[in-house]
Amino acid sequence: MVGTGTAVAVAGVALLLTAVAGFRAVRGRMASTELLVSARGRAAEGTVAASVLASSMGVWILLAPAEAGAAFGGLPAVLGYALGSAVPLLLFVPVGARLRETMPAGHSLTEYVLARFGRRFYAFVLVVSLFYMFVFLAAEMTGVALALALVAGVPPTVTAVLVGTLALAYTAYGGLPASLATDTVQALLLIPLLIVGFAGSVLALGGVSEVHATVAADAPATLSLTNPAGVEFGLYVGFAVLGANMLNQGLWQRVWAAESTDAVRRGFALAALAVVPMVFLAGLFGVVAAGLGVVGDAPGIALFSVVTTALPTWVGVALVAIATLLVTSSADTMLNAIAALVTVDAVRVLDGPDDATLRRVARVLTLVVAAVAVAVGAQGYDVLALFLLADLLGAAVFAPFLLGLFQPALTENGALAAGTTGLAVGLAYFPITNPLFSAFGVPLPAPSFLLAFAGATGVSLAVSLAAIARSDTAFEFETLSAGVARLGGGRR
Amino acid sequence: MISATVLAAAIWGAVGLLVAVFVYLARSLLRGTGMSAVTGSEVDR
Repeated sequence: MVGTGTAVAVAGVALLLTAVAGFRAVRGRMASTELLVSARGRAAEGTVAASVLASSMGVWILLAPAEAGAAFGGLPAVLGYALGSAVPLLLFVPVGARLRETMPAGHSLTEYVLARFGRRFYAFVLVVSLFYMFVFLAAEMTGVALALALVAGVPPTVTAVLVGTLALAYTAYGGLPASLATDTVQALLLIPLLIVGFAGSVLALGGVSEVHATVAADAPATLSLTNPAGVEFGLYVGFAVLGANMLNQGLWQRVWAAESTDAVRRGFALAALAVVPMVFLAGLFGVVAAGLGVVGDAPGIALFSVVTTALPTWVGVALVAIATLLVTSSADTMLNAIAALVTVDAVRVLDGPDDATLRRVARVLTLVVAAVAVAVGAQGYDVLALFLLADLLGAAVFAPFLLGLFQPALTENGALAAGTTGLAVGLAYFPITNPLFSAFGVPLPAPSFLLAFAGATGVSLAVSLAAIARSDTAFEFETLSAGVARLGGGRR
Repeated sequence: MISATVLAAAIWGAVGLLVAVFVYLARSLLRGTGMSAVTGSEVDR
């Protein structure tokens, strides 16, 4: 167990380094709303890669992958999680290139969806995207509060307020440039810490042979690549992660922040490459926890159970720093993304506000979102069900949403039909909502996460393709740029 | 069930991949293709 004072000091240093980088990003000068929201063309390949990596990898990698390894099928579940986490980033390679080609001056995914489809599908996507990002943010605050409480006994409120305040300070002040700069510092600190932490843990446990022997003796099923439960989890988590991430405004912002399309391609691909070993190694802690018999009835904290029961104190100290860096890099991205999404839409609602008004809107929004997320995070709620629901919504809507970038024949009605039918199928199979339908006497199939996520994605994709085949209209992509808001003075 | 050798290859391969990514990323940022683009002098106004 790490001392509470030590943990707060380590977390404080990590937060301080991050905040200094964030404030330096705008160097005390007044930045325009356009810069705060888009940082257009400012990030080269290295920054894109570091930022996408740091933004995507939150404190969730210390919780969910290990839980998958401990309770949802061992190695195949962990492998599926690792590979599935990389797929959305790889999909951004063609999507990002197309987005920059068709809407080079864009700011947000809702700006695209309004210009491409219309108000009804825009409302659908806006709700799904905001819901997903807020749940992500609240889950991160909950996760880091839990992590520091487990490793060092830090009260959850102290952690949530400390992390939330610092991330809020530099994000509200420096916007996306601050988030990009801090992500870079965080990635450069985080990767070596993870390397040392993972390698040190394996050696402290007696080496790979010893770990293998322990797990093989007490939890052999977790080492089987054909474990059916693990294979099923590995498949559905891929669908779950894919849709939601495509509706992550934080990733869309980084497409426009890149200095070139090549920087997008290489940056997102490099981040995808780094995500796989990070999630895989974190997930292995769950397999080890199963072998050591320390999972009990709390598989969600399997990694922490291994660290606190079987590893030296220095690993716990490293874990505090890792958790702090993971949460701040994701939280600042989500704070800025949510504020950006609403700020861009505020241009329409407020009828051409000036730049100072928009800056105030962006900063007040960031403050409100951070305050609510900190309050939720300090409660220690189980946010997994909300996360899964957000993932399901994303799975149902992302296919028509993305096809609209490439297929001129897809109409708003087609996209809406695809999203709603995909969602209906997903909810019918979704284990959390399936019983609600059954209670009303609706005959439904047996609940299944795999069928819920695969069904939502597959049906939505199939209906989109059918709508494209039947359509006789053709959207003119040249008109997309006309829908781009000019921040601080109406539309372009 | 996978063998200890396969598990070792997976673990140390993953650690090695992280090391390679870190080296590439650090070199990329040191070449000036990273943060300077963000923290440069183009801050508006």
